[in-house]
Amino acid sequence: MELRLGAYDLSLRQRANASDEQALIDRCRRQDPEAFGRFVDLYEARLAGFIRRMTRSHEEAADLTQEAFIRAFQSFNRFDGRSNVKTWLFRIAYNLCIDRARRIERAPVELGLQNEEGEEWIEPMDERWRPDTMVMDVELMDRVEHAIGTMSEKLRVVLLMHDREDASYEEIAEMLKIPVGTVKSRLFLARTHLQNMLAPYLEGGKSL
Amino acid sequence: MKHEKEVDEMQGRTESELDALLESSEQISIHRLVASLKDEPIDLARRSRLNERVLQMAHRSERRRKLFRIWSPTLGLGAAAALTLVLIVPRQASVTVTNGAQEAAIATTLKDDSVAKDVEGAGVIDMDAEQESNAEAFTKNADRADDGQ
Repeated sequence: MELRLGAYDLSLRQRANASDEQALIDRCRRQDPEAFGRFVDLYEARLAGFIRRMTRSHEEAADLTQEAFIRAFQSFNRFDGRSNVKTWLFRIAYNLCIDRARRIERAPVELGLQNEEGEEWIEPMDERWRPDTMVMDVELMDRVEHAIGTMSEKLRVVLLMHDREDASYEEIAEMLKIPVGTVKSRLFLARTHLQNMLAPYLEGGKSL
Repeated sequence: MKHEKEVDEMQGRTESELDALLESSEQISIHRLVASLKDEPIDLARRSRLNERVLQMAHRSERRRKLFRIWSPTLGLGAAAALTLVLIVPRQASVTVTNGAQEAAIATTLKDDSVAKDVEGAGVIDMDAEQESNAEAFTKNADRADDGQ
C-alpha cells in the first residue's frame, strides 16, 4: 500500500514537473528573459560539458555555449515542441560545434578500434575489464575525457548524447538525421573505442 | 574515415543483434563511466554577460513588437485608402491601336488628295470659275451698252 502511494506520489510529481517545464517553454517562446534565465540554469552545466567535450577547448566551449543559448533565445518561438527541448538545444550546440570544426578545418583525429600499437581491441569479455568496480578517481576521469576527445565527432556525439545526456536512440537519430540502426552501431563503436583506449590504463594499473 | 568502414560492417547486423551487443556488461560499464563524468563548472562572469545579451535582445524585440502594433493598423489603413483610390477614381480611357489601319487609311486619303490636286493643277474651283465668267459677261454687256450709246 505504501509502495503504491509512493508510486502515485512520484507520478504526480513527474506530471507537475512536466507542466512546469511546459510553462517555462511557453514563457521562453514569448522571449521572457526571466524564464529564459531559468532555462539556462537548467541546462548550462550539461551543455557546456557537451560542447567542451566536442570542441576539446575550454575557451571555445565557453563562447559556443553562450552562442548556443543566444541562438536558442532567438529561435525559441520556432521551437514546435515535437522534440524534447533538451534535444533541440543540444542540436543547436552540435551544429555550432560542426560549423566551428569546418571553419577552422581542424578535423579531429580519426581513430579506429585498434589501439595505438595497432593491436586489435581487447575482447569485451576480458576479465580485466571491470570499470564499474573501479574507483572513479580524477585520473581515470581524465583518461576517459582524453579518450572521448580522440574519437571522431560522429562517434563522440552519439556517445555523449546517449550515455551522458540520456537521449533515446530515436532522439539522437532525429537530431543527427540518421537511422536508428546507425545510432546503435556508432554507440557500440564509440564504447568499444573507449574501452580500447582505457585498456592500457587497466592493464598497468594507475601507473600509466 | 576509418570508422565509416566499421559502421558499415556493423550495418550488416540486425537491430536485435545490435541491442544485444549494447546490453553486454562491458558496454553498460562504459555507459556508467561516461554518465559519471563531471558537469562543467559555471563561469559567473560569462553567465552575467549572457544575461545582459538576452536582456538587450528581449528589449529590442519588445520595442519591435510595440512598433509593429502601432504601425500595422496605420499601414493597413494607408494600403486600404490607396487601393480605394485606385479602384474608385476613373482612369482616362486609353486609346488602343490594334494595328495601323486607321493611320494608313488617313495617310492614303491625304496622298490621294494631294495627287489629285497635282493632276488638276493649281486653279479655281467650279464656283469661282462660274462667278468669274458671270462677272466677265456682265462687264462685256456693260461695254456693249456703252458702245451703243
